Amino acid sequence: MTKYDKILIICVLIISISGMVAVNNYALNFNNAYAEISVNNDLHKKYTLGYGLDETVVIDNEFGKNTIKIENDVVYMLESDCQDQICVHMGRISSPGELIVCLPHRLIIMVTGERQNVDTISH
Amino acid sequence: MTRNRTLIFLALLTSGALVLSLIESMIPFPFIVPGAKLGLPNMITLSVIVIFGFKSGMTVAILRTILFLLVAGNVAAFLYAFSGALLSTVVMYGVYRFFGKQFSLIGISVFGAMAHNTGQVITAALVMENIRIMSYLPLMYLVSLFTGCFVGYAAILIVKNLNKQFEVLRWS
Repeated sequence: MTKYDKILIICVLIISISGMVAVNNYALNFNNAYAEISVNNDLHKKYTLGYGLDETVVIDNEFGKNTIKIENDVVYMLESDCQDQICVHMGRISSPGELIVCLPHRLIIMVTGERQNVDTISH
Repeated sequence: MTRNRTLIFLALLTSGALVLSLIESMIPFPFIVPGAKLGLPNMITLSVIVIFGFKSGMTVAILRTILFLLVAGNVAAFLYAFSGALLSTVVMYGVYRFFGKQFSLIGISVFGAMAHNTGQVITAALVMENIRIMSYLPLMYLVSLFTGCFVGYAAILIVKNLNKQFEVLRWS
């Protein structure tokens, strides 16, 4: 065991531990959730949730006008000029698989992604 | 040493390495990383490199992986073992040849273990066509640090004993 051996061992320790930390931070980026807004079955826009996103999306077309608010990782319908206002009352969605539908305007907001909640697997 | 004696010793060491790979495959490794191994045959490769040189070391490394394929019959594992053995032999010889004064066999063996893992992971990434396997590498390096130290210490003992044997043989 020479002096260089010890230097090598310390270097490898530092490299591997910092590498693991870097991989962990990097790997989290693969678990993104997306908000997909589709109108009349066509994908209108796709947003990556999280990362301090603060966006107000206005969709104005021949079916009607909707205002969608995306706050960080939560999506909700701010206002809609449809008759029943069901979409506004659908509340806030954030986990993959959740939906907001505005049927009169043919608008669907869906959260997709690989992020999974523990309870959906175990129960 | 005569040519025949060298051949016999290399054959014995190769079979020893084969036995070590078999024993190694029977030990359930206590770490979390799948595919991580103790690298016991690496100590034979390392001592052969030190005593007999690069060519013999490479021969032993290749032969023991092929023999292990014949014994265990696992072609997928052979691919990983083969690439790892090739890369680690080259790296260990390079370090021994050019930095032999700075590093003891422990350091060289750590280098070899890291090269072995690198070769394996690169092969796995090529076979599975998935570059994300590379994220295993830091964890593998951490494990190879400990196994490398252990293997290097064993190699020091092997080289010491073999040299003693050869001294006896030379005078007989």
